[in-house]
Amino acid sequence: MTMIKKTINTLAITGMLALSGAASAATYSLLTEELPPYSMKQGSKITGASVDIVAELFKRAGLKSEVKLQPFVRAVDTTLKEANTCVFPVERNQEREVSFKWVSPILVTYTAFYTMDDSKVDIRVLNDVKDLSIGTYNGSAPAEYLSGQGFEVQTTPKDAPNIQKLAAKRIDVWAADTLTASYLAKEAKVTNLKERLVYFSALRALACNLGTDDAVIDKLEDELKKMYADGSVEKILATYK
Amino acid sequence: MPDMYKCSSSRNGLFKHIRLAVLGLGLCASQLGWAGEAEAKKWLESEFQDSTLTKEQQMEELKWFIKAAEPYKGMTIRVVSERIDTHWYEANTLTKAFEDITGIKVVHEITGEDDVVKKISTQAALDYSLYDAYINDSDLIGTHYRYGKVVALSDFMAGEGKDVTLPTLDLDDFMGLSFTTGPDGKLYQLPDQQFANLYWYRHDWFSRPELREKFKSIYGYELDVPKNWSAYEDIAEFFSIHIKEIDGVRVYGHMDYGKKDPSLGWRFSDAWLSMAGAGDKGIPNGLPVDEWGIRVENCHPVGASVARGGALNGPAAVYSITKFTEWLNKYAPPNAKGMTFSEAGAVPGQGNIAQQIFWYTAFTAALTDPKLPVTDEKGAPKWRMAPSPRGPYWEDGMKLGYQDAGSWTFLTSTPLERRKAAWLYAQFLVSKTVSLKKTLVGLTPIRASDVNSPKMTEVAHKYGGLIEFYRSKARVAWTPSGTNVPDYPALSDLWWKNVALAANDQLTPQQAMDKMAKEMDERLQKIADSGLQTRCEPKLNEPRDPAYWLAQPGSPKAKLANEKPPGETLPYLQSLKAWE
Repeated sequence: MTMIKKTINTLAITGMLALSGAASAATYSLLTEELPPYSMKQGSKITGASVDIVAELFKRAGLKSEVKLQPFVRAVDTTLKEANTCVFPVERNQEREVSFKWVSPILVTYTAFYTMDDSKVDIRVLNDVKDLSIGTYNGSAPAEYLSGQGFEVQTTPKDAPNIQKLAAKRIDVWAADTLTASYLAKEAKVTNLKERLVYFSALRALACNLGTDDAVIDKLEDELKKMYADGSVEKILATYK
Repeated sequence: MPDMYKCSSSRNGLFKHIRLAVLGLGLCASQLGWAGEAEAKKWLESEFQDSTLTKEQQMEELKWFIKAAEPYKGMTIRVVSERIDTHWYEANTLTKAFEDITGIKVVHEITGEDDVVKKISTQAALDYSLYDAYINDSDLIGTHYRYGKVVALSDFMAGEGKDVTLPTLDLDDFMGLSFTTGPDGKLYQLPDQQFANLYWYRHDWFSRPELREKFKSIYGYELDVPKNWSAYEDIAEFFSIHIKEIDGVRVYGHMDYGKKDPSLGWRFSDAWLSMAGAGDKGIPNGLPVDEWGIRVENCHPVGASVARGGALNGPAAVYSITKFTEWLNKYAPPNAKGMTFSEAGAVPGQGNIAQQIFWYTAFTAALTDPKLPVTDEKGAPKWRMAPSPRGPYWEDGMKLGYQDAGSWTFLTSTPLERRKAAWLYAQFLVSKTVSLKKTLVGLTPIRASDVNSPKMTEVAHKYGGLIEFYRSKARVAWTPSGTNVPDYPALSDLWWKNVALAANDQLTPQQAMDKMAKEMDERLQKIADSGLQTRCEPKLNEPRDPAYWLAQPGSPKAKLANEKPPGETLPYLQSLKAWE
């Protein structure tokens, strides 16, 4: 804990570095795709686990921001092109590293294999799903990871129908984010879903336009660390479990 | 970890996990009571037939694991490693063996090495437990030693982990312990797999009389394994410019990659400057100046720029970058410049590359596929690996190449009971019961006993020189990044960001390295200013006229009047003897 305090002290000092007038006066567009319970529209309000974390982060950094929902591919494209724009939550990987400035991790997510609870399939390791029919949704992290291993995946435009596909035995196993799976199961009033193996953890980041002032990124990083240290991130996540 | 504390399908999440981890082990009763000797016997018979131990000794070792694991039965632990064949074997097969034998379930995640580094850095920075153990490259030894967030295994094995430390671990048998030992002499990481970066070439083409004759007529010496960069360059020119086509296929005398991408950094941080001869003498990394060009005095990094006594923008470093860009432009396939590490890795196997100066032996298994044009119908390689050629600044007593040692690393923020269970899994994966079989699967040997075993003699011919390399004394001159590098994650991006500027002709090699050296010094100062390093933190020298440092003995070295001495080559078998 001494180290944490020392970190915070150091960060507090560096965090005091004044942001330039332009950086602090700008309103940042924070783009995210609709992905309950991470981001969703409730009436006129955009809310969700990752939305709440990022909004709080900007508030603490003293930066004006506006969260907007956009399809992920468009959000990434807009962030590449437009100043004062960030997209979240994004998996920070080698391919994307060079294209953005990063604030990480805004959250840690887990991906798991699900079956119905009467399923007889045995899933102890990743390779055990190799010959199974795996459902996930287009462009998702599970689709990317499992295809990368050479596994066949069946994708749908949205994740929710995979619960029905699983129940109807049109797929053997559903690969999904654990928070999303739990949310979608509740929405669909499905109680016999079984988590079989949590096979991957991912750090999710805020990716900002390359023109973003370094001082802004440093300030956001500093505030994010404080949010972990004081339990704010945990508190926000807990409300969505 | 999410699924480890419960037998139901509901999910608790990271922070609940942390709380539970602190509170207890969260055993699932249904998982207890089925691990044991019958399962051990089954695995010995079905999987671990190849071992340097007798069947009885193997059984004794496994009985120890069964007993030591008793208190942790039913736990699920989570570890992470990079994406190579050895780790896939561990994740998909050895986790099952370990669970059957001990009752401890392991989720062994596989991801990119950059992600492993980000995850371990995140856990270290935020002090919360993401994983119970990491297989992390030993290149981070300087980082781990300085921040005090990594468990010193020497202390752990003698203290709180004594009851879970394998009596037959036999540390002296590990070939890479010097890579994972801190300046205080303590072991911080335990190697799980190792691979080297060597010279690779088409032995079948080099053996063709008409090509040998033509090469000699142009260059005046034999077409063989290049001993120096001059010969490498001549051979590259020979195939790309003079030969151009073999058996109807356009061929190239060099392969590399140059896309602005994090993977470009490994091409340089993995010892390229030391191959040119930029650092000082001394194994494993050169003292006081290492292969990153960082000078250390009394364990404190004092600078990377020549003005502060480092060698990052010195003549040898600039020469090494100049040759990299020149060869990439002149002799590699035209699309190589736009490739990443992964894209370029498969190219030698496609059959149109004559040689590659910078080639990871982790690709050995992939290049022995009988379907490839670089193997014969039985899968015997038409290629060989040989010692890397050295640049004109290289001198006897210096490191000559890179070795990757993915090593078990435990953080202080992981709760003790979880760390102990993970330590059992780590030792199982490197135990003599398992390690020879694992080596045969992944070809990333860690134990001298495996390398020298009769089984390895039997299969050596299949692997193009890999076993000969590991049996030779040369293996000590191929080393990972060392303890001069005080914060690998905070410094490593400078390589790809700056070298890419030279590779893409935006800056000259001198300008790119001047910029990088300046930025490296600034980052070293920033690390010092953070106050987070508990020992051996950077203390920068005051800058002075570079001429002062270039006039001192050792690195940084003054520019050579002739950077292209005559090319020298050695016949393959003779080049291997250089390792004896």
